[in-house]
Amino acid sequence: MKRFYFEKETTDRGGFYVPLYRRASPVDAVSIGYGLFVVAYLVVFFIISLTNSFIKDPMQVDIGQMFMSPSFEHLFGTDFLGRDIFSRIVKGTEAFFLPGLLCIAISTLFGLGFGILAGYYPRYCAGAVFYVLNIVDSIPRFIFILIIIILFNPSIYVIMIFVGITSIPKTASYIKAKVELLKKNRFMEASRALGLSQATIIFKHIIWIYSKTVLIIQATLRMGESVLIETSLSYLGIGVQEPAPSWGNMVAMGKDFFFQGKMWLSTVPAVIILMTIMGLYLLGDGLNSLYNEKVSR
Amino acid sequence: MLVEAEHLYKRFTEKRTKRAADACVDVSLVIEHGKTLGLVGESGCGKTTVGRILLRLIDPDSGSVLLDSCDVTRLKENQLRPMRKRFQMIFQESSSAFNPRMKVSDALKESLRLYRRYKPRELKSRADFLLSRVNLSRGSAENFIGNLSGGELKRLDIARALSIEPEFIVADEPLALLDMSIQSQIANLLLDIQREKEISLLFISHDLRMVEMLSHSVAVMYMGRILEYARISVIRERPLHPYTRYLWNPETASVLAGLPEGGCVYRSRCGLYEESGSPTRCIRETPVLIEKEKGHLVACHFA
Repeated sequence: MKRFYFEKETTDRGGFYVPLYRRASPVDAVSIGYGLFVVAYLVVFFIISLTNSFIKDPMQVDIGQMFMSPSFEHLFGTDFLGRDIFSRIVKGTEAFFLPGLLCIAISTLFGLGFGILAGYYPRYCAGAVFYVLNIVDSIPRFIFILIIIILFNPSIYVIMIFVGITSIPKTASYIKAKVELLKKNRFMEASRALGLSQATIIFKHIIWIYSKTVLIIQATLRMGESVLIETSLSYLGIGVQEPAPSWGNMVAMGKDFFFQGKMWLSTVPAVIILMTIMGLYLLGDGLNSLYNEKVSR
Repeated sequence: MLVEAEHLYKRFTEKRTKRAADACVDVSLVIEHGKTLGLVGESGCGKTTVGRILLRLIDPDSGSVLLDSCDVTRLKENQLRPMRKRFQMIFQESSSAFNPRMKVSDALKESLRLYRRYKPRELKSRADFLLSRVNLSRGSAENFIGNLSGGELKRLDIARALSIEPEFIVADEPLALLDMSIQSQIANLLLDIQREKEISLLFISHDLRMVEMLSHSVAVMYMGRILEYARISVIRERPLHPYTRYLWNPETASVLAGLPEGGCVYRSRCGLYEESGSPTRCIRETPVLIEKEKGHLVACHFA
C-alpha cells in the first residue's frame, strides 16, 4: 500500500525555495481555507448589500412579523420590529467593510512611505520619523477612540482613519528593517550594476518580491481588528447608530430578549462576528506560518 | 570600448577598530578596444576592488576611470545609469548577485527588457537563446534562482551580462566553481563573443594559466599594487618580477607574511631579496612601475 506523508518544509534550508503547496501543513491548509471562506462571504455580502438585490429591505418595519423564529422565509428570523435579521446582517457588512479597507490603505501606504524613507536614509530621516511614530505607537488606542467619539462624535470612517494612523508604526518599522537588511545585500549592488533605477530596486525587489506577503498578512489581521473595533463600538452604542444595521448594535438590541426565549436575535449576529474575526485571524496566522514570516498581531 | 584607469587609490577602513587596508594603490591600466586584460593575483590582493571601481560600483578615493574618454568617476548615479548598458560585470559570488526569490526566466527578462524593447514572444525566445548559449537547459528557466547550483548560477550570471550586450565586461573569476568541461565551454564562449562583438574584457582570475588562454596582456597584482604589466607572450617567456615567476611556479612553500612597513611590499616573501642579502634599497625605497623593456613594466629594483 502506498503511504503519503505530510512533511512541513520551510524556506530555512539555506534559502532553498520550496513551492507553497508543499510547505503547507494540514492545520495551515484548514485555517487558510476557512479564512478564505470568510473573506468570500464578506465580499459577497458587501456586493449584495451595495446592489440591494436578493435580500429583503433591512429597514422595513413590520409589526405583524415581530420575533419570527428562523424559517425558510426569514433565514435567521426577525427582530423586535419585524425586520429580517439575515438582510440586516448582510447590510451590516457595509458598516465595517469600506472603513476597514480605508484603515488598511492608510496604514499600508504611510507605513511603506515612512519605512522606505527611514530605511534608505537612516542618517537623516530615521530618527525624526521614528520619534513621531513612537509617539503615535504609545497612544492607548481604545481610550483615545473613546475620547475622540465623546469630543467630536465622528462617523465610523473617521474612527477607522484614526485606527489606520495608529497602526502605521508597525508596518513602517517592518519595512524599515527589511530595507535596511536588503540594502546591504550584494544583489543590490548587482542590480545597480545592471542599471536598474533606485525606484525599481525598492518597489520591485524589496517591496514586491520580499515584503508583499507580510503586507497581505498584516492587511488580513488589520481587517479582523477593524471588524472587532467597529462591532464593539456599535455594541456600546457609540459606533454605527440605529436604525442603520451593524452586527454590534444588533447584538446590543437583541440581548434584552435573550432570556425571553428569543435567543436568535443576539446569538446569530454574535456567532457571525465570532466566525468572521476568527476566520480573518486564522487566515493571517495560516499565511504567516506558510510564508514563514514572523508578523505579530 | 577603450578603458583607461589612472592612479586609482582605495582604502577600506573598519569603522570600529579603525583598521585600514589598502585595496588598491596607484593602479593604472589600459584595456584597448576588443582586447582582454588579465588581472592576476592571490586572493585578497584587490582584484575585485579594481573591477568594481572600473564600473563605479564603489567610488575610488582618488584617481579616475575613463571609459571611451568619459570620466565615470565624476558622473552622478543618474547620469551614469544610461551608460551602464555599455559595461557589465560577471560577479564572483553569483549566488548573492541575484534576488533568490525570482525565477530564472524573470531575472533574464528583467535585464533584457531594461534597455531594449521586445515583444513578449521575442523576449522568451531571446531568453531561451541566452540560456542555451551558456549551456543551461531550457527546463531550468522555470526554476527559482535559490534552487540553482553554484555552476548554474555562474552561467546564469554570464547569460545576464550577455543579455545587455555590453561593450566592456568585467569578468570576476568567471571560471571558478565550474568543472573542466564547462570551464572550456565558457572560456570559448567568452572568446567567441569577444570576436563577434569586439568587446573589451577585464578578466580577473587567480590562475595565471587560465589567464594565459584568454588574455592579450596581463597585470600582476600584489597587496593592491601592480607589480608587473606586459603582453601575455612576454609574461609567459620572460617574467621579470619574482612574484610573477612564483605565480608561474607556485610549488615553493611561501608563508604569507604581513605587509612590511615601507619599501617594497613583496620583500617579505621575495626570493630575490633573500638571495641578494636583504639590500637596504628594498627596505628604504618603494619600487615604481618602470618600463624595463618596450611594453614591459615591472616594479622591482633588481629585476
